[in-house]
Amino acid sequence: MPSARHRHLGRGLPLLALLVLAGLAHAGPAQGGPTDDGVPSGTMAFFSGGACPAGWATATVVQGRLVVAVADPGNSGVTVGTPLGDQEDRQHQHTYTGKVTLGSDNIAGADGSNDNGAAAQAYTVTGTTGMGSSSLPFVQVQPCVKM
Amino acid sequence: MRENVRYAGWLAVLLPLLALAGCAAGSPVVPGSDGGTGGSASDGGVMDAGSDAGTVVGDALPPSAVSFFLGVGCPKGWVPFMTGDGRFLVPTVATSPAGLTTGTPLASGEDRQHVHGVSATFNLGSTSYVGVSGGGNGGVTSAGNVGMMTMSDPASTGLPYVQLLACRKNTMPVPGSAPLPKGLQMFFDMAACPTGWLQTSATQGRFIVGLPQGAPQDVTFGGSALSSTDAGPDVRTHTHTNTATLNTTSHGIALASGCCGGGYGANGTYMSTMDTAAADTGLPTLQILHCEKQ
Repeated sequence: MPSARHRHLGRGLPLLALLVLAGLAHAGPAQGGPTDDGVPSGTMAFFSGGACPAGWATATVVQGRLVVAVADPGNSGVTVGTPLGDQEDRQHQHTYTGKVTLGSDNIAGADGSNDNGAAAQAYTVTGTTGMGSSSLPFVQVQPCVKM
Repeated sequence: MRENVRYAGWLAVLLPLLALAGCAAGSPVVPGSDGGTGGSASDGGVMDAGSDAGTVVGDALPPSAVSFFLGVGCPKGWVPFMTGDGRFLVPTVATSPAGLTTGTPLASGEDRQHVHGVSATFNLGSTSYVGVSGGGNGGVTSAGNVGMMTMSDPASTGLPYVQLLACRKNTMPVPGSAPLPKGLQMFFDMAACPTGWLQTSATQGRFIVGLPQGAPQDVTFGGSALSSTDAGPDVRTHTHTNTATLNTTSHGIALASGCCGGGYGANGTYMSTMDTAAADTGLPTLQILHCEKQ
């Protein structure tokens, strides 16, 4: 016949085992809940395949834009320009101002009414170049931010 | 009764100890499969002084990862990526060296400008007078070609961008509850991708643009991929063309038109093809390894 002490010990051991198991199960990884991939919240990364995985959302501020790295958090989020459209190879042009100097070609005659000749002088030529692309290579990839 | 009291007291001491032991066993530093093969990762994980003794906090990304963040600062275990400050990060091509840079870093919010040399050649037509060439009136010009060379005004490429904080991981990974997602692309400040990652294919040598809403993914466009070698980075240039116009004014001569004082430039409107010299955009880059989680 087990003693009272042995009966209490028998009841206590399963409880101890349960407590140990509960303690170890509580010791999860450092990040998030049971389905978290361990990437820090706020991480912006590109994903192949066009869709953000569970726990991530589209980084809308990056859609249609390139990304410039900055080391000062105070400069993060600044945007320049308007977003690109689908596969848009953005064009640009330049204005210019130049001078054309027409030199003299002497003639034995006074000034008069025959206006067929072009005056020998400096002329200003202004204009705009045609539109052109940067010729840079691009690839459009899904941007996602970890929630 | 006395035995029940003794056992209750024993459990009251043991229970807290067991709970503490369970919590301390969590968040181990695992130099696991996502650990890098290079880089400068030093310590394993970061001890969190604010939590229970022995707990290590961190994240699942490998050391030497370089990532962008939408937030107020680099996460614990990361430091600002100074090398890339003010630059576009462009994935390297195959085994081409990382670390090559072009241009000078952008100031915050800067829309970088560039210029081109511009040239054109106008061919003036001829007119003649009933008179003798030479003499003392130099008011008219000669027929023939006359050139123009100038510099264009500065202009931006118009390429839009967003500035994001870039940080470099300096600690070993701490796994999450789930594996890192397949298809995750990450820059690495190292020579080769970590185990479990492969160098991206479509992004090599290309500026990455965030996919516009509704657009097809992973499509390349624009120029051919940059190809840099040990000799130096590939600096891509471009040109423009158009038509330039010269409008002359007249200089009247008191001679009738005809023979034989000829070869004088005719007054009129002249058109010429205008070409620019090749110029690069001035957009600053840093070439760096780009890997994708398998």
